[in-house]
Amino acid sequence: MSGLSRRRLDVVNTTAHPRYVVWELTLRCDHACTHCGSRAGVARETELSTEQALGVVAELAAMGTQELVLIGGEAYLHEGFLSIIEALRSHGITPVMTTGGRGIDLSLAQQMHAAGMQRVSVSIDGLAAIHDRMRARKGSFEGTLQALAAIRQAGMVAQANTNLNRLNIGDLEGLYEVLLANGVRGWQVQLTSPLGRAADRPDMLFQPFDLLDVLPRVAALKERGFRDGMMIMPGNNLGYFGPEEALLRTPVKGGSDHFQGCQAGRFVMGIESDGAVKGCPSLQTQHYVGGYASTTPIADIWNDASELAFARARTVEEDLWGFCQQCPYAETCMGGCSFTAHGFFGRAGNNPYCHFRAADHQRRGLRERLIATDAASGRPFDHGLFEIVVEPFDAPLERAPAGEPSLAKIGRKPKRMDPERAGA
Amino acid sequence: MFTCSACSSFVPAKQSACPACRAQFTRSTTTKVVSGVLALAGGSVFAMTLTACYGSINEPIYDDTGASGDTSACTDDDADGYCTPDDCDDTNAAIFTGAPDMAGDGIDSDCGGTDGPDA
Repeated sequence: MSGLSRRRLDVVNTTAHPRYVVWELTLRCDHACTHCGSRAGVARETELSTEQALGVVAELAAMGTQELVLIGGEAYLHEGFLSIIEALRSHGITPVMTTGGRGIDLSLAQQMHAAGMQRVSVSIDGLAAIHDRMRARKGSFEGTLQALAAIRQAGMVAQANTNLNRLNIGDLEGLYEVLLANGVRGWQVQLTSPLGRAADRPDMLFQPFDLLDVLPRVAALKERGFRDGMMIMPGNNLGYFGPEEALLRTPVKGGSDHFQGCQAGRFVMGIESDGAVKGCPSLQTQHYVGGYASTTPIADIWNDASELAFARARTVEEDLWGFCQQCPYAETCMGGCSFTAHGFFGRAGNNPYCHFRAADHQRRGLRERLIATDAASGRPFDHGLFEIVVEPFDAPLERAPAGEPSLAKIGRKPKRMDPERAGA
Repeated sequence: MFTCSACSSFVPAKQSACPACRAQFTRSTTTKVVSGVLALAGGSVFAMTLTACYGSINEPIYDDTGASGDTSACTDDDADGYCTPDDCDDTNAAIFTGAPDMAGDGIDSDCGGTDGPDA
């Protein structure tokens, strides 16, 4: 089955199964990024062993998983990394990887390819100065370029992924040029959401009205990408239903795809390194873990846990609130990305990160502004709380300019500061 | 969903005006997205490409059989998002593996080998 069709399906008429899985192999990491949702750095207290992980692979294959993304922390820091890649391949699951790239040299890249890794997405969050600031490590940007080169030299497909926020948005078009020049032909872009360390840095986050600038710029790059041979696709929290929606969401030029709602627990699954199973890798651990693969068959968790079923039978009346409940796109969109909305308000169903929503407010001379209130807890995949203020679109606003390095500073300390996970 | 001919935004079927530009529409002033989907992105109006945070994208030129960089391994002449061999008729965008297949029309739309949905 071709790469495109493995992840393309009728999301209404297909029985829910974990077709696409994102698996945090270990939370141990060689970066301490300022926006890391999982506050990665040291391993969790109990992480799945290689033997347990191989069991997970077999279970997922039986459930119909077609593609699996290994993440962390850094997946290559797990002792069974290469064995797990081999197992995925032998079970017919396409193994891919997302990485900060720091530890990927030609030797490791060749081993990965030999084990069966097909493509690797390197996280690159801006040009050198901004990327290094976000990654809290001088030289990190150069390391990503070296990783891209090693990945390609080893015979794998090199891609990139980027989290967009107020710190790095000024580098967007320049980063496109750098990625193109370094052989990247696939680029996923998404918005930094108030998860983990990003929740401690509310000034780094976009305001909803910033999307009026961001979405058209991403769309323009997508058009350029079609001409240059670079495929740009949005992550699930970048959208929704602006005039560029079809352009952004369709992988072929001239298509008419659009967002179809959160697919967590429908065709997507996330697994944390201690075996916690969620409907999506970014969902808040405290609210969305349905069980642990170390003690319970994954199929049972998938089929029986309410935490994984929340997106399978939702209604506008019961599950949406605020603007989203009244939105003309409510039935289709269902509040956009669940973890993003939950990160702002402690529950899904009302998502301020929406192009249509921002444009609709602007048409009425208004804008929404998010104000940080409660701090995050300080644990992986935690979140704080925000409130929304609706104000005149041209109301005075004091904030540091986009790209200002101080945006990366902690502005709201988590309730529990773990020095090993605190980051920069 | 429909597409507003005035601003290209999507228009939910229940709406009588475009949510974005407020243009009132009738069937004569809209382009039906359903037909667009059938022609360009697949036969199902609910087709989408799965994505997730921390994931990687599926490039249309990429072939999972391991021929990385081998663009000749995948052709999609009808631009329906499916490459051969998953597309048993690459001249018709409504025909591909997993497409809706109406029994009795004499067309194997889902490439299952028979007319009608696969068992």
